[in-house]
Amino acid sequence: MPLNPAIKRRFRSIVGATGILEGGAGLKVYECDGYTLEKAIPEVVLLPSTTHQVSDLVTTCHEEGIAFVPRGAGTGVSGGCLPAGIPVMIATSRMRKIRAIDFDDRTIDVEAGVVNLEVTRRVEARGYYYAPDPSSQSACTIGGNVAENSGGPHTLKYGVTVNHVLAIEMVLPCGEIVELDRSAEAPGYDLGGVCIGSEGTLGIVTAARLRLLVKPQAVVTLLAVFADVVSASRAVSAIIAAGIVPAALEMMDALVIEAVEAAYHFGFPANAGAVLIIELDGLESAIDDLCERIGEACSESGASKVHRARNERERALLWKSRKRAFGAMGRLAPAYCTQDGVVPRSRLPEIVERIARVGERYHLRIANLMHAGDGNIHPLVLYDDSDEEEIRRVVCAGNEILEACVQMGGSVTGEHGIGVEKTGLMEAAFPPASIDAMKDFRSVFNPAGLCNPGKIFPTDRHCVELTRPRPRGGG
Amino acid sequence: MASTRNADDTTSAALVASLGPGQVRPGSRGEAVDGVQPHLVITARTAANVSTVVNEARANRLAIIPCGGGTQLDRGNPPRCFDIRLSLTGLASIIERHGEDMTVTAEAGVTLAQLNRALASRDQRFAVDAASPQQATLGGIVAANSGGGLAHSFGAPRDLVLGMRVIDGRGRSLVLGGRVVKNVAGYDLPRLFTGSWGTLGVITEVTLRTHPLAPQATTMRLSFEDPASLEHARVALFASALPLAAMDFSTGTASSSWTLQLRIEGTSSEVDYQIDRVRSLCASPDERLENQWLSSVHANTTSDLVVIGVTRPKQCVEIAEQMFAAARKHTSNVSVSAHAGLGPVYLGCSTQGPEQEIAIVTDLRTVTGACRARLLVSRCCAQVKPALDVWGQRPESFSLMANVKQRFDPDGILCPGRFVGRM
Repeated sequence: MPLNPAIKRRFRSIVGATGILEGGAGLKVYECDGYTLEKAIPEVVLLPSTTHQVSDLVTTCHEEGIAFVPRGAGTGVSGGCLPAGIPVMIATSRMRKIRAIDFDDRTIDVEAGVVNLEVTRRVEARGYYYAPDPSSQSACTIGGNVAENSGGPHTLKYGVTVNHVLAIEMVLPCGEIVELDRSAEAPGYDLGGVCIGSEGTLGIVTAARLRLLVKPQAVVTLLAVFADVVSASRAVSAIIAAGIVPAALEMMDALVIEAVEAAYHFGFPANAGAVLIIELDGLESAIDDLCERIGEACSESGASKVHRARNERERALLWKSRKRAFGAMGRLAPAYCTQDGVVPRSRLPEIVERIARVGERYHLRIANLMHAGDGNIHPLVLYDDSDEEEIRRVVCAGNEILEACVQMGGSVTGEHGIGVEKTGLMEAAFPPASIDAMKDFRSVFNPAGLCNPGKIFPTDRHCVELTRPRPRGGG
Repeated sequence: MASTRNADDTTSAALVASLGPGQVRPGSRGEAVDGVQPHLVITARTAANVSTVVNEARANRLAIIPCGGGTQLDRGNPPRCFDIRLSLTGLASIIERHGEDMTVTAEAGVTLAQLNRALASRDQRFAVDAASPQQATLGGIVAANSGGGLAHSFGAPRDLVLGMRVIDGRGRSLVLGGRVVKNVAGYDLPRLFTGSWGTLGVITEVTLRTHPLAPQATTMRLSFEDPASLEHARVALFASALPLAAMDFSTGTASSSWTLQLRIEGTSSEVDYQIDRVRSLCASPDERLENQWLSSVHANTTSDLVVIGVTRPKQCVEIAEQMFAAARKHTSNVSVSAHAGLGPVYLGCSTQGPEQEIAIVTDLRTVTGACRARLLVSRCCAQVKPALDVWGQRPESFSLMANVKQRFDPDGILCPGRFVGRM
């Protein structure tokens, strides 16, 4: 049922004529996030620039019984901001103020629309940085990061978003503004801790207080080359077993290497079966020793070569190859689908073999990109999107891999979230009582279910539209 | 919230029948919480036992206080009623050590010392320091989200809990989170139960993230004549790239100086470098204690009154100084300590009874209130508690919290009256 014109007038009176988009091609960009198998166009997109405007908009929706979906930069990869059956989208991308920087407390207060990388840019001259670094960090916003509890390559040592957020300001689905304090010894339940990663189903995050870290004295990036993924996985275990916690420990297999080499010309060995990108940070006086120990662990696991990035330029190129690997995959196939699963790190060799078998059985090429140190795998299933039958095989293969992750004691998502994509896997991941408990928690915040319905929990949703997936990143 | 009634002989008999006579006995005065004596003390040996007790309590509206090593039962408002003291210390198995994965799964009654002994054989640890590691259980540490100084670098328990099993106040057996270090499937409910002080459910099992044991470690103590020079050092260290494992400070009426206590870990070259760097940044007398770490915050466990000023790192020295001065006006035996990188300030003092405790807390609340900090009462005599909410003023999100409590413990059987806002 279309929105009543009086309601649209009310929205306009809150955000002004420039803060509301309706009809026309302007809304096309809002039809999906990085998960492109489903699309839907909202009736209006609202672009508030203050928390009070968000509150007024949400209050209106609440009073009128209208469903709404929050959106950050739309870089999510599980359809968390898909407006399927939801007429109103509230995008926080115009809320870009940095409210306060406090170096004495090592905190920064930012609004939801501030871009992840911007946080580090604002403080790096003073020697600080914000640790969570999803691959999309030059575009994704803090509001979205908080909603998704975003990770990134450096979570191995430094943790994910939730470990770096000390307070959030949120507009509840009834329109009320609350601050959820997470500082040490703050009394009461850690509601903020649960809201982080709740995928926009408990309210709209409008601002957050983030923890800043002091830049380490020394950073070294190593590239270790292996004949195959299994020996690279063994090296991962050997490094962890040696009691070393690298800042990042990433793996790319031959297919990914082929794509990124073609795109960025780093100079990866053409015959490599897998590479590890290992970043170490810490005190200058200790870093060489650490490199040596890592080198030994890699060699003992069969590395043919361990190369230390010679300078900042080489280091940056190595990371560019890794972080933009998703973008490079378009060179290998007309389309690809990124999966996101987790296994206990010791089971990496096993899941890699399982993925290969799944690929063979479904006649699909699957490339492997992993936050190997965390056991977080990103199999990239390559396919031809003009082939309907192949698309079905892609979906089946993805589900089979994720179910294998669960059987090995892992998870169906390490950082991309459930969104709409994986609602069908929640029952594989949790017993019914645990899902009921999550719904109980949701009902405290979102009793009428108007805030981002259809996400996380299994429902009777049907696909809105199946179209060509565009290259999509994540992690 | 529903009121509860006392356990009678019928319920007691029913519990004995389901659990076995060795697990149920009458409570004693020594097992009282805030002066309220439990009618029954039940020792659970399995999660199924916990489930039985919770369901029996629901059916009969009995109040349960779950309890591990009992090291933190002082925290909280007085229970509205107290029928069953449910001991989890019988759930004491380490279920699985996943050495290569750096995770461990253990029952709630395993003590911190027991876990860390087991992990040490693989050069690992659960990086939490508690005041009494021999008594403190994993369930208790997680329920209280209470770490110590090591939270400075490793995070609080809530950052180290990957998953748990809980029997909630509705009697549901919940499997929450997982056993991998990265997981965003569904809501992160382990975070809800961590720090919920047993008011939403009884934790029976936890899966924790472990860390490598440091090859070398030392504790460095630096003395400062006054809070201003301590603050100077704190700022310098906090802004440095030194990966200090812990950074606490303390002073007291028994001490003539302010002491900064640092935990330094790493390879021997990393440790040596950090010591040198600390010396050049702080320029004050220091001593080293080889391989022992006791957070300054845990040093004083005998005070009559213990309070916590909840504040930010940049205010902690100033607030500690003001709290110290305010308490000294009342009593001659005061100590104050803080986690300098995290914020909270802990003050302990001896007192001459309830009137004096109320007067001290009132004065300290004025001091902290002026700095927009909150003051919690961690320990005091039971008679004082009815006069003041130990958690202080209700947080802004209190109505949400009360609603959460209602969903997970609708009959109000878990620690009724003890939490924030006397829920």
